[in-house]
Amino acid sequence: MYVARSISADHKDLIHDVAFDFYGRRMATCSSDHSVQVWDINDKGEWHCTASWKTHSGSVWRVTWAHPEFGQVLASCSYDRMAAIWEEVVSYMVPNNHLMIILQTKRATLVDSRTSVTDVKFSPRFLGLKLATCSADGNVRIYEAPDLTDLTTWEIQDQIMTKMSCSCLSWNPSRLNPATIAVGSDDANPSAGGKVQIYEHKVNERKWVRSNMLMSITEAVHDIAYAPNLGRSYDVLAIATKDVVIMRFDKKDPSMIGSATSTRNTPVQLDHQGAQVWQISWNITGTILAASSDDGVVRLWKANYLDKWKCIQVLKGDGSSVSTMLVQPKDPPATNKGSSLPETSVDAGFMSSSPKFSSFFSSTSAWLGSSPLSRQGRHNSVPVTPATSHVTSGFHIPLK
Amino acid sequence: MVAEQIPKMSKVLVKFTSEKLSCVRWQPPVMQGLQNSDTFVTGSWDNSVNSLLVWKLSNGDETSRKGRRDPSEASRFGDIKPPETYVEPEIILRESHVGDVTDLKFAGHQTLLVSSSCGSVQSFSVADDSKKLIPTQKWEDLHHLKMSSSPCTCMSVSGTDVATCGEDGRINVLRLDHRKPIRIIDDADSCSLNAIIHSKTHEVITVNSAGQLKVWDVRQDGNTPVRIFLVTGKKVALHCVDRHPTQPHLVAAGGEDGTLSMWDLRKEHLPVTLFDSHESHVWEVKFHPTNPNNLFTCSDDGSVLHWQTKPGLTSSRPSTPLGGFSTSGISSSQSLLHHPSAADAGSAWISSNTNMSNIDINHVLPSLTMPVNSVDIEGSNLVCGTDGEAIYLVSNVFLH
Amino acid sequence: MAAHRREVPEFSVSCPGSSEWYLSSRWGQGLKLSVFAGNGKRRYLDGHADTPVVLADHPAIHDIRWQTDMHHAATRKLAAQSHEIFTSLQKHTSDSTEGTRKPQLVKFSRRYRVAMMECIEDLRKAASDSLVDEATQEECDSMCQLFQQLELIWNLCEILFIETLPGGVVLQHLLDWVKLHFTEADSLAAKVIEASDDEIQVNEEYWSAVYIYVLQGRLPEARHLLSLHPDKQKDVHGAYGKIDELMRRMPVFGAFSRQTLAEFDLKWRNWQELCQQLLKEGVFVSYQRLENICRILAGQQDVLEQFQHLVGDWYQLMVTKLLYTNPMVKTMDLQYHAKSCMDVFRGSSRLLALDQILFAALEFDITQIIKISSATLSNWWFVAHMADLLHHAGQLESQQLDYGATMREFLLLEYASTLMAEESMWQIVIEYLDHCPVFGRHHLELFVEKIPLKSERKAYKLLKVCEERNMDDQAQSLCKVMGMKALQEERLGTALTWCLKSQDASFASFLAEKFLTEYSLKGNFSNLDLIDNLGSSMLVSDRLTFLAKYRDFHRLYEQGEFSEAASLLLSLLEANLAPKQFLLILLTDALPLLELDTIVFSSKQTSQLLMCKEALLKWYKSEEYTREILPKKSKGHIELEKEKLELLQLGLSRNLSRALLEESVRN
Repeated sequence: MYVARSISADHKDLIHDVAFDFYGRRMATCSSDHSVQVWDINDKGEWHCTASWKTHSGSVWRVTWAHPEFGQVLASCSYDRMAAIWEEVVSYMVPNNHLMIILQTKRATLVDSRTSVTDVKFSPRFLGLKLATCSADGNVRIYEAPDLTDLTTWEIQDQIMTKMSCSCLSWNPSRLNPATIAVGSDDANPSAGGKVQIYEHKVNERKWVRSNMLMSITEAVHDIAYAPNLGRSYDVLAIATKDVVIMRFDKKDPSMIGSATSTRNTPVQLDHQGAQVWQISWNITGTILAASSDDGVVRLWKANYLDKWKCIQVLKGDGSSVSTMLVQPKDPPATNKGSSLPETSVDAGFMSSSPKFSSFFSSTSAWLGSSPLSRQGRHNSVPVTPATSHVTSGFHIPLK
Repeated sequence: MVAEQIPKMSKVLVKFTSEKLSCVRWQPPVMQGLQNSDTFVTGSWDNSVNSLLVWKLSNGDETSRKGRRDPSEASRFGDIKPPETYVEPEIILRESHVGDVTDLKFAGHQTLLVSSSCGSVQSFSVADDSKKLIPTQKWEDLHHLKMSSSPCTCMSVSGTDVATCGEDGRINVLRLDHRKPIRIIDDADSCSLNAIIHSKTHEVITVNSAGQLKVWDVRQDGNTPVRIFLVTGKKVALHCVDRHPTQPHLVAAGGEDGTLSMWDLRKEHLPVTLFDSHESHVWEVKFHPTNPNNLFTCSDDGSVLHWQTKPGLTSSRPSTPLGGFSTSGISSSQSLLHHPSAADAGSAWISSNTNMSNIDINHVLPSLTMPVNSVDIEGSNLVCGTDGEAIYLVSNVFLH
Repeated sequence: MAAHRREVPEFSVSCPGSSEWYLSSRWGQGLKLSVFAGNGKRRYLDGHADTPVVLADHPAIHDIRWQTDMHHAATRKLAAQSHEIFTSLQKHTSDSTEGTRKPQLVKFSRRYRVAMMECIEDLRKAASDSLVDEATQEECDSMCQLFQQLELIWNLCEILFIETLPGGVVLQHLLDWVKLHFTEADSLAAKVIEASDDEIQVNEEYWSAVYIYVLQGRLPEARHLLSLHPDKQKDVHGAYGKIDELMRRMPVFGAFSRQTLAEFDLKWRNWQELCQQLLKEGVFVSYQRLENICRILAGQQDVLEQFQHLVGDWYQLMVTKLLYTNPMVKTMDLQYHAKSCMDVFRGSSRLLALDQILFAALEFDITQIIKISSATLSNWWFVAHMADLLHHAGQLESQQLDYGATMREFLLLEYASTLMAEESMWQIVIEYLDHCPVFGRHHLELFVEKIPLKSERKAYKLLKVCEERNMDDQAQSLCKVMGMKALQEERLGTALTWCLKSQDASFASFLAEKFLTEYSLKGNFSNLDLIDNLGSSMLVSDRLTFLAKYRDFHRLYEQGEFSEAASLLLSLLEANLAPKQFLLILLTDALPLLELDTIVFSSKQTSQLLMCKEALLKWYKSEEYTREILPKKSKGHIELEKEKLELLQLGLSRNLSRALLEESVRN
């Protein structure tokens, strides 16, 4: 195991999520600095940033790519209570440099949530272009683009009240089941019931119906992921809570491989020594799970050929060079669940910004953004004081 | 290295290269026709960094292999022991290349042209000992789309003029000492242009992904071809084209369904003959430059075929000259059009009674599992490059 | 079978901020992981969701890779070569009979070994290549050693499991095995001979070479070296002659000799008695070195211990011991001898992985070989190909897994996934997955979709892969992706060819509409070379059919075939293929035909046209039109349309009267 390369991202704050496109050749990063960056591999096999733009007026939690069948489409979700859909529209070659500069344009802003949107995921390709979001107030919304050639219009297919503070969701990638979504909650109260719910789309009733609630998961859940479908007779769902829990659910189709065993459906606990697991991710063939926990390590888990889960590798951060500093907030948000935001922090101008295309090119930093509000590097120019550390106008430096 | 004794007289030599090869070309000898070339160039594709390799044939014998293996041991590997004396190609130069190498062409003995999937063409001057490639000129961005670069798919050389075509449907004509193209035909084709060849000094033939063959007069303005020829009503992409060295109206093209089509450009729009011999994409077709009764094709199905018109057009079928690998799976050709004027010399390719009795088809290589992307013949030496990351050198190919 | 315990390996990533913000990770293609510090969710729960953090440095993302050992130029060659052997092995054994199977398998096994040897050679060259940096050299060197070990194991497995000798007499093969892999004696001898001018230099190296030859049972070589000894010429006591004679007469049991075991046994006993007798007689008393040789030949244990440093390792000791004490040993008994030799060399110290694997082989415990190899060698190439070969040899007990795959398949899948990270090796990956009967197909479906489509040629190749395997869904998706890409680049023609490949009706309609829109805006068509030659492909969608037919109409009109053009136009209007917004354009196209001197529309046709016009007017009043389309039209546009309709009305009525008149005249 070795570090092939390290990229210094141009983000001015923590990175929250890294998402690879379908082919693993493009990468999107999102950060607390309200921006998203897109990275491409150049001809020499190095990552370089091809787009960087302000996407939200709050921390951007998650970023995700749609299937390339639908074009180059990204979705992001944020603390600013919005999710946004972006499409690549123009790219531009810098001569002699083999450097591609790409412009992204916002196609749609989904403003239905009243609280922080905690996760956003596109549906598997065979379900068409659908998008699910979940928010801290317990709403899961499923959107659909009725016209694949016009991504400015998104209709809400359904809105589910989970009655729990949602933190994460995952689409079941299996074609054999009806469309299914698993939703996790980060509610810290163990007595508040199961923290994972599973919803199925009932085509006839045209709505999403809860099919399961995992009562055994009582601790807060921070990430959830169905394993890619390998033709097993069951679905595998990984849940990041205290330790990782692997659950199996039988598929409805009996023709699939594997025999029914009584131990099948008992959850498997992957031991992170009781640490809280924050993020999990499956490899493309669904054979290895990477899980990061707050004991500071990433563990790689793999089922061997006897289907026993083993930790095959531990990744430790060498955090000796701690260089982070948390700036004291002026006033902490109203609740630590983020159920409401201070009214002032919502940038009305940004919310209403139309999907119309606008761009500028800065020759010094060689990046292009599509949002008229964006300007990178603001932390350098804005004194870090409680007064200016707020989300809003302090960052809006007019364009030159 | 594995050498296998194929048909009686020819010898096949395999060299693995650690890269998938997209193109192989013999360097023309200083005095063409009087001597045989001993140098060829290969280009690779699909790697993050690709390369150009210059190979030279050296006359080796067993002693040059001393130290590789205990000679007494060799007997244990009896069946795969190399022959006593042989010609062994050695890599004498490795040059890295940006993007896939899509085509290689020599302009005379000393100028090598390399086209790239990044849409550029680079010319090199080849040093006398072939141990050095000196970059002389680079035409950047010849082929490009609205948002990104587009692969240059093929080149054709006529004197100091080089015609290029690309997936962007564009034709460029370059002159070796000019930095800018001397003629650009934008939107020459609605589809991707896959191959190009000069039929006269100012006339080029292109084939596209919609099964069309077009003839262009590059002196004429506008983007309409002089003539359009079709394979059939079906859209069968054509990947490659070559013309008869002495009778430029005779043109052969290979298609995605494994067919080889022959046109007489003086005649109808549909091909005169269609041979259905490969199982999949025909990637390259090549008339023997000095012995045009011989034609070679290579295919994605892993085969290389040697096509020969029979001397004298006798009706009885003589025994296969190469013995060994005569094909069994070759279905009979379909003579689409009856053609009474088959009297011209060399027109056995398009003669009316072209059932297989006029043309012998033989396998040049034992069947491979991996696609053969490129083939070139010089004298009686044939070389081809494969996705199995190997070159196959066949010496003493039997020619009529 | 003791469980093979090992510690979970740890890897440290130098990532600023990771102690505070922890590490997060995301998978790339294959065995690639992107790791970064940062966990906003925790901050959010802590109540600092949107408080900026000032980083001293830009946050970093680290690309971590592992098991890339088959990506190096030398090993990649092995991957390509062994892939070829692998695929021909799969084909071969399916159509060969029981009788011819074994020699063929041995051939395959040797082909693998030749490929390994070539790889070892290349790695050795790379390790001493002065052009690369030290780290790469070291890496090559360690890979070289690894593959040498693997080849050693492979060869032993070949002897024990593939060749499976008649009667189980295995010694000769073991001797070859030792000879092939431990060539120290050869290099010593070469050194001695090279250093000497006329007369051989008799030194320690000389004797070491002689002893090793004897210990390895390579008596001809030992005799040759001894014959060069200067004392040989003045051999007063005949000791050199006698030892030479002894060595020459040592019986050898060959697999192809005609003698029976009993005959050989008798000969052997006689010969060894002779050795002992000569020792007893003290023939070599004044020749310590020769006496040592004779004692080895006589099978005396203590002398072997004395030469332990020359023997090499326990497995070499085992072969030597067997040669001089038990030459007819059966394969099944090897493990007992191995155990005692291992005790001599390892004692109580820990066994190396190599020891364990070789010992497991001698115990005929294939599962154990594969288990230890997978756990310790960090290389799936070996276990995957070995397991496959053993499977074909019928040696691999099919151990049914819980989810149905055999061990062979499990290993092949592992090997394939180590290749996935190297993008250009996808064709090799696919062929390995092809030969995994249970899960291969599912892996393949996931994998194939994820191969980036960088050029059309690559897309064609991939499409063929899908078509050959009836992966319709993946093929469809591939064409869609290519079509979408072309559409984004505004290459409608290319988009249409991809769409026609997958017979994607809705996409074809969409594209046809694009062409029509372009026409209604610009007044002329692009991509005519394609549209005019659609042939039967136009039938994919109604819209496309309309487009092609509409072009036919234009062509007929241009060629002056007016009445054909007229009836085609009418049928287009009536067939309801056209988009509603295009109806006016179609009707307007009738205008010039109505203005002609000759009448091309009959009275019946004219009234049909009138009906179409009425239908259009009706649509103009519909809610759909007034709500969705009308607001988008400019005032000028609406005026123009109105004008056109009026002209049309005029033309139609005039034509109707002309036609009626003419028809009545004719009747």
